Amino acid sequence: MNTYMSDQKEQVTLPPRGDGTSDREAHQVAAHRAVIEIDDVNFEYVSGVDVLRNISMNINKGEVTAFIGPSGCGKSTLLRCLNRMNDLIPKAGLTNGEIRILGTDIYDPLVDVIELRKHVGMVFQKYNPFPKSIYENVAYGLRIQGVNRKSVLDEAVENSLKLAGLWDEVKDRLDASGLGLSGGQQQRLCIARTIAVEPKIILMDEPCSALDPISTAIIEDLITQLKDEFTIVIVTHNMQQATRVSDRTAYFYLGELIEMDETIKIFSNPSQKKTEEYISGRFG
Amino acid sequence: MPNEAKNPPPEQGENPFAAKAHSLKRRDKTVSILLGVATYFILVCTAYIFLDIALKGIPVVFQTEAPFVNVEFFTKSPETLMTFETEEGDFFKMNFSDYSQFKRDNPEVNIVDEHSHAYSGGGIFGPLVGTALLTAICIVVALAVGLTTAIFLNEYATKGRFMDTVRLAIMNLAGVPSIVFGLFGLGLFCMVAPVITDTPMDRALFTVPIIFTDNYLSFEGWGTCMLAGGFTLAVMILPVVITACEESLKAIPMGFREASLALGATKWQTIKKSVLPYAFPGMLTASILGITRVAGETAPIMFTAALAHKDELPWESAGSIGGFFSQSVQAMPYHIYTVAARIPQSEYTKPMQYGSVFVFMVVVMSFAALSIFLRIRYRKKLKW
Amino acid sequence: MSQTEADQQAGGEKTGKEIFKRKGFQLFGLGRQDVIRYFFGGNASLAIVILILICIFLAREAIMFFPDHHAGLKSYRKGGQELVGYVIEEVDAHTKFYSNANIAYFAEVNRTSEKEDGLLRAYRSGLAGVEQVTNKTWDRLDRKIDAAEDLVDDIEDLVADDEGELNEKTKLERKLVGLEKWVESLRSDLKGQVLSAVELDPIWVGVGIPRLSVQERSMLREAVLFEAYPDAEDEHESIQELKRVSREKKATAAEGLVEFKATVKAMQDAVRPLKSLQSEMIAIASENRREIDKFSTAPARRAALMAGAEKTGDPEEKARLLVRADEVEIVEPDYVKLNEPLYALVPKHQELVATLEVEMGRLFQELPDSVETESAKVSLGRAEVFYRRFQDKLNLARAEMLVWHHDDSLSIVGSTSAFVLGRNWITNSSWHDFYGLLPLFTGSFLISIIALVVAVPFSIAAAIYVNQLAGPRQQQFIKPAIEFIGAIPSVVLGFFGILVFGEALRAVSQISWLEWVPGFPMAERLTILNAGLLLAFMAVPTIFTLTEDALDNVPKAFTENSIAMGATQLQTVFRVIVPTAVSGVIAAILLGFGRIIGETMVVLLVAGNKIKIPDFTEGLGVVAQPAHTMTGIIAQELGEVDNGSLHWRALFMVGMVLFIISLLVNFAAQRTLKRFQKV
Repeated sequence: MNTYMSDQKEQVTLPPRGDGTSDREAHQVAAHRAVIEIDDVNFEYVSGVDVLRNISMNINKGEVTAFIGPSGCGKSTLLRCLNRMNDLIPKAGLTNGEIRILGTDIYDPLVDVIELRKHVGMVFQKYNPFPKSIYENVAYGLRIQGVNRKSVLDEAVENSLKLAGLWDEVKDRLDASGLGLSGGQQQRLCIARTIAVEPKIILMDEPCSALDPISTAIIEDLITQLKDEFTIVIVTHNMQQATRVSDRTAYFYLGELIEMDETIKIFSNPSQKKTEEYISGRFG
Repeated sequence: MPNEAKNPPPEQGENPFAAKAHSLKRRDKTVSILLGVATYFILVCTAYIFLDIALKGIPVVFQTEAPFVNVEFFTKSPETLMTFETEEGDFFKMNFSDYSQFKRDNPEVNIVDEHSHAYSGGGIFGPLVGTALLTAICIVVALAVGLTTAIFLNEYATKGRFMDTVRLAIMNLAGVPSIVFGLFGLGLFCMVAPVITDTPMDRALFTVPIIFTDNYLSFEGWGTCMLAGGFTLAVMILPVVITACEESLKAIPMGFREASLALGATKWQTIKKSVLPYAFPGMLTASILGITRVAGETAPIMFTAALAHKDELPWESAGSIGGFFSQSVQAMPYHIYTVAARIPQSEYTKPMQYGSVFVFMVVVMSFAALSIFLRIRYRKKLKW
Repeated sequence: MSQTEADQQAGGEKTGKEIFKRKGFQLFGLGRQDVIRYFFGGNASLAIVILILICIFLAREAIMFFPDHHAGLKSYRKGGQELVGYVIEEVDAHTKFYSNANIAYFAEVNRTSEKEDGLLRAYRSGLAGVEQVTNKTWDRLDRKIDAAEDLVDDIEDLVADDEGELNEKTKLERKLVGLEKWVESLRSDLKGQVLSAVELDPIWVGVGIPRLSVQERSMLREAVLFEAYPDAEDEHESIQELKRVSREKKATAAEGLVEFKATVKAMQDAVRPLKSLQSEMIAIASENRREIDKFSTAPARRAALMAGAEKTGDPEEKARLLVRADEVEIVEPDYVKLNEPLYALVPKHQELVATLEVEMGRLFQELPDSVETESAKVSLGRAEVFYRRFQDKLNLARAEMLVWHHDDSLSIVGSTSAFVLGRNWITNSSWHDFYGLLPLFTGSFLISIIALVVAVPFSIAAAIYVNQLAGPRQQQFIKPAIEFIGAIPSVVLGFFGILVFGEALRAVSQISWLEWVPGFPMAERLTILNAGLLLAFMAVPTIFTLTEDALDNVPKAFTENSIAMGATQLQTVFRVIVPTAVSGVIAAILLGFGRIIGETMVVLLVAGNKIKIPDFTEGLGVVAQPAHTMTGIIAQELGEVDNGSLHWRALFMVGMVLFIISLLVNFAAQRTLKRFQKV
């Protein structure tokens, strides 16, 4: 665990600043701590129909950023752009703008999408452990990278499970099937599986929507713990959840980014009327 | 973490996502290509078989002059082909019937170097007719049983032991080797199935006198005949037909039934009026699938119906309707088996062999293509 | 409460009960809807009924097999044939040993003249090839020449002073001129045919023919032309030279192998006394068996005569038949007396075997330890294997013969295992009919294994490719195309195998750089390998379709998760999708196996139909041998045997075995699939 900490300390030199200012100077300063920079992005699934329009935002290192908005607003699509999961859909793609992660345009031809996804992990709405043992589920990411040394794998599995808060529950049955766990446990297993490869960023696509309230609480707790070591982007339908876990929140509506700011500000004093209508539950 | 070294923190200006695992990519590519090659190898083999048969069969079936089709090949039954030379050195090749005629007409000709090639002359009309009849009987029987079974399974049956047993039986039936069906057909239809007769045979398992008549219901079997062959084939394809019928019934939207039941129709009325009419295309698919399977089968009809040689066509030797169905027939697959393996091979047997196989392939394959086409269309519909 | 009571209670008013009550006809308390329902249900249960009927009808004949088979084996024992059987086995074991030593000897003798022999073989193959092409023309030419000679005779017979005869003569002479032209043109045809035939490649290729150099080939071509062309008196001098050199070399080689030769010869001689004892015993036992069969069929013969007498209308004939029926003796033969001469020969046999064993042991030691050629080494190795087996056989048979008694009881287990584990399937034999499943089962099994080994990688590769890698357009094309293969009638594939594939496979096997493949070069056209490959082709659609379904059923989320972890597409396929679908894949393979082992026509046409357990001492080369199968034997023999005979029942028994195998395979597949569904 210490490695994470030291990593963090070396990298984060600036104190956290949470204002979505458009001031040019501030923007440049922010860019240093921004791990993800989204710059005027348009995206389409079907030719000619943009589902994302002119999205620009920065996502900062070591923070939890929540994407909220009504169904079909494009928040999940944007999330999937960040590790290029949308590549799996034929004909879909960016039509404008660029997305930089760690300073690199991820849609650049020189970028290997496989490497990208190793750095940008993803947790899905429906927990989906592979039909393998708990151990093999967590070790999967390392194995596909060619790591097969037992000692290395053992350590990584243990660390990841501990980090996901699952270690004490499963340490005696690592060889049991991952499918035998409860829903919340399975989702935490998926999180453990994701963090085992030490991504820089974890994307979460409504990670709690299939879970009961108790499991949800555990996962939310986990997210706040994880943000010390990872940059997390979470899509959620649940506004209380956004307030509970996120540092900053972005509100999307019909493919546009309406507003992005510190979570406290968004929920207490949004600058846009649409945001206010949404969070006060008038629609969506 | 131990694999720290593998993902060093990116330095400014460097692309952290640059492709690293070149060998991995190459391996991926190689494996993909290998998989593709294996796939296309199968298709190439198929194409080769088709082409070989087509190239050697087409010259037999088609001609360059009008009427462009070898009419004799389609209108005559197989007979012995005679090849001989006259003393003058003229070479002749003719069917046995023509040969007898020739000898009668030209008694003075001295025939030398005479060879007979069994089943290599004439055409394939008899076997074609036989196969068509066998297939027709089989489809009628199989469809009657298959459709009712499918209706039961899809409309009436509730989950339970009986249904499980039926499904298990169907599944197991599908795996039984065709030759075993042949043995079964021989044992049941040829040797034990009941007939009505006034003179029961000794071999009958038992006989039951029918009251008010002199006849008996004698369980002596139908003998080697069309009917026995058709029934045997029907039993064999039952699983296929049931599955196809069921699929077609499932494709009918539940709303049709609900709407009908809600109007106060009985279950049977509902089935009759708002299920069966729409199941027609499904039944068509089932029959065509059945034809594809059945037309090519040899083993089940070997001892139940097929005959290598027969001079008369079924309707020429029938006598009565009962007589029509209780005679054995020639059949395409059995004919091919005969000309491929049971006659001495020579250059004069080749045209008959390839011609028969080509025609047979074209017939069976067009049914197969039709069934695959229909099934694909059906599956698409199902997804709605 | 009954319906009528309810009606009465309701009076004139229509109550709900009345409105909702069942209407229409009733039968035994069943409404019309129920009848329809039961009709459909009855048809549905037909599947069960049929399955049960199959069991009954197979079992009816198959179960009758056991008592009959038991009785047959009993006669085999009572007549002393079983005792003689041991001697026959001893002699066979000796022959196998001896013939391998013999092969080794000749390999050694021929080692120096290998090149010449190869060329001579090529020469003979060339001649045969040319002859095949020119055969017809030769016949025709011969006939023309004969006809011409006859004509010349006829012309000479004519006297040249009659007007009419003169006319006749001119006519005949004109005919003769025509004939001579014919002969001339045929000769030139022949020449052309020969010239083109020697250019054909296939006639210079074959088992034991080396790769020919250009000079060798032109030399051989010339020799063949010389020989094939009409009027060649002697063989070409190069061939004569080759033959002479080969002879000389062989003679020289044989000089150095005199001892080897003597050993081999001595081996052959050593078994002579045993062989003559064997024929002596066979004669006695055969006679015994006739007696026994006469007794066992007597009641049936008598019954047939009585029945015939009953039916005939002619009283004279009836009386005659009845007399004949009375004449049929039903007297059980005296088995002790029958077997006495055989028992008497046992001590002599022991003596002979003892000397034979000593003699062969000595001769085995005398076999050369080191030989020069590879093939001799292989044969000597096999000779050693067969020597050990021979020894074992001698010891076993000797012991068995001492304790053997014609009256020993034969258990049902014994007769059953004689079927299940019997190594011989011999029917219509004058000695004894053996019904042993093993040769058929081995054939079926070997062919199925080859088919699976070939089909499984291809089908699974294709399924993975189509399901995971191919684009939609390729998918739409490949899937129906492979399904299409499943519709090819098996008899057509068998036909293809017999006429095209067998020949092609043999030609391929004779390519010299493929010699490392086990079993290559193949001498036979119809082999286990040929059948296995064709069946592999047949099994592809089954395995492919089911595997593809199984892969398709893997939740898409697994793919997504894996991809999101940074796995490549193939890593995803092989580490997540295939392992998830593995039960489905195994079920697919099992069902493919079921399809293969039950396939009839292809194996009947292509497997070579030789009823013998393949010779496994050749290692993997066993695939180049012909075999027979369980399905094939039924198809081939059932049409030719009498209903209800032992042979007929044996075939039904084989069918029963097939049926059971298919049920087991199905059961296993379903179990695997169920486990799959739980995941």
